[in-house]
Amino acid sequence: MTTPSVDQLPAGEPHEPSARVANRLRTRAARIAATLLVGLAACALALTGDPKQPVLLLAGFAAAAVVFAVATGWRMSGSVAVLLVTVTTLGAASIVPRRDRSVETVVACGLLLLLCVGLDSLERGDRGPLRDSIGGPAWGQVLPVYAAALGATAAVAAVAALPGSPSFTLVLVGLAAAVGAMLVATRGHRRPAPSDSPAPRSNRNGPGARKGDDEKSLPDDMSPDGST
Amino acid sequence: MSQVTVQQPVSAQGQVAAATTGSTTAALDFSPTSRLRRLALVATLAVVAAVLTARGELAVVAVAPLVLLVLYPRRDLPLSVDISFRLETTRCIEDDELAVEVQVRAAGIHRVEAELVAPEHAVVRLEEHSRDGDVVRAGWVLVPGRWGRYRAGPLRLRLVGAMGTYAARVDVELPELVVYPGAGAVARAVAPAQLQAPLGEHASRATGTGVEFAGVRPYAQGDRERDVDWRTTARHQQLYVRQYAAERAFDLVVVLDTGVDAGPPGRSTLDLSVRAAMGLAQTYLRAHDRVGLVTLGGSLRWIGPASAGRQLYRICEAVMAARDDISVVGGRIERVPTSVLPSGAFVAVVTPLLDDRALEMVTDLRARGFAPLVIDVLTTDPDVPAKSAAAQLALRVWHMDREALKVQLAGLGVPVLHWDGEGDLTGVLLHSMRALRPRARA
Repeated sequence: MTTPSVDQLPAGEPHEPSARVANRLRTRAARIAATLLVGLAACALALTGDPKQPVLLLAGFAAAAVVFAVATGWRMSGSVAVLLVTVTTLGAASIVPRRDRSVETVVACGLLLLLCVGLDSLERGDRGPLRDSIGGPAWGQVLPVYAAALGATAAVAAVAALPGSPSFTLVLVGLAAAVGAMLVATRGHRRPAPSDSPAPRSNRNGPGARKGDDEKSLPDDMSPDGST
Repeated sequence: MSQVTVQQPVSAQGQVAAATTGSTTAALDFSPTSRLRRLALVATLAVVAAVLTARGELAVVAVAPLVLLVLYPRRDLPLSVDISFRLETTRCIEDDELAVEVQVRAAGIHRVEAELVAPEHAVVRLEEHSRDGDVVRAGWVLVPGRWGRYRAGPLRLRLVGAMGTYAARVDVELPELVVYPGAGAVARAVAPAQLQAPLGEHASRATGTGVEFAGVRPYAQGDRERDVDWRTTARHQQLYVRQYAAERAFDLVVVLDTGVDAGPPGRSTLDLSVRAAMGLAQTYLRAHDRVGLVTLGGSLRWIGPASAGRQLYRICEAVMAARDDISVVGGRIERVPTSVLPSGAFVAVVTPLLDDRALEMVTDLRARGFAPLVIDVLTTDPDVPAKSAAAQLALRVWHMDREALKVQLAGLGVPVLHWDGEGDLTGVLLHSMRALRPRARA
């Protein structure tokens, strides 16, 4: 009998077909590359036009944070990266006149959404994604939602870019919308009482024999017939 | 996180039965994911920046996250999930491939992630998965690489809802998996020429009522007419009858020295000992011989020779208990009763030859009139620093000790066979059996 030596190899990896391992590595590499590209593009977008020194500094920090977050997969580093990229985007938008940066702001907003999604998929640790994705969403459900979000962003940006649009009103509307959205999003469902859930149950199939063999029940007195 | 435990059913006799399928309904406790927190962070920063700078266009950045948060509120998340699983079998042999299938049914789940935690020395790979509306199915293949009793799983599930903004975790406990050791290579059941037990399948040197031709002899009164060998009779002008070899059974007792386990997991001396014992037991039980087992090292255990089909399972369970045996008290072979070591039995001692216990054991066996065969299963040397002269010297002394032990065994007339777990034991067994002659009792 040839028994593979399993002592040096971690469980779960050594006997997987190479094609499957290669496919998994390819997928992860593609995710890393895409997330890195999106994060750096969001930082680069803040540098268009005539960037001031604070924005340059922020963009540098943000780019470094994105690279670190992608490399480590740590949850906190991902949040810091999102924070820095957002601050960079806001900094660039607050320095330059509003009409000149409407398109950039909308694009940066889309990139921020993609960065959040990408960092989420690369996260490691107890709360991160598990090894195998066995039931993914349909693109038909996902794309319309993100399209609606970006459409709303573009509409608000267009309104904000109109000459003579009141900035103070926009601020008030934005504040009200934010509070309303938070209230809607954080409304939790009521959990049922514990007694509502049925007790776990199992089906007994009998003791299994080796694959392909007839099922044989083990004797009751399985232990050796004598000991000292 | 909801913890789901599938209980194993208990039969009326109080025995825990092996459950290979199970189902459960688990309550889900969703918590916000990093994506939700980051979207909220972006929205909050944008609104705060807009308020602080009094520039409304900064609020544009907050629009997309807020829209996403509003479109997927938490109230749409399911309260519970139905999970069912099927484990192909709970008993298998090393390197068997077991299918593990899981079905998850929950409405409103955006994505399902899973991880089947592999038992120690086992390999798990995802074979297939599919989604049909609210029902998600997945199948894994579990390949246990080393004998023992393991907990298969748990199966960890992460159910993501609300477009990735909320997630809940569920752990599904799977039944215990019993992995029997694989059998070492023994191609056929060979036996000594002199056998005592009647009613077997091995042709012995004695004449009897078998089917294998053993010779001719002159006719004697009472011989059957159909046994007359007419060709010999015609040649000698005298009646001759054919003789046939008697068919006898064979008693094999495997003695395992489990006191020391050395070597890497999967190829340690205990692993090889167990596989050798299983190979011998399986081969000889298949030939309707009687096989017994004695384990020395920890507690002294034995199983008397028997030929029933369940004997293989008894031996399986006995050798699997050897790993859990941490007793260092031990026992000597002299305490094994005669019924376990019947007269005329062939004794195969499987040992790593790492101490003098093997020599004492063989001496005792020789004193009881047996002619044992020693199978040495040590395949590795101790790890010593390569640059240390003292360590190298110690290694040489260790090698010399082992050689001296083998010389002592040879002096007792005991052949020592080295087996690395790969080769076939048949040829050497046959050679040993034919060469050995049991001595008279001391």
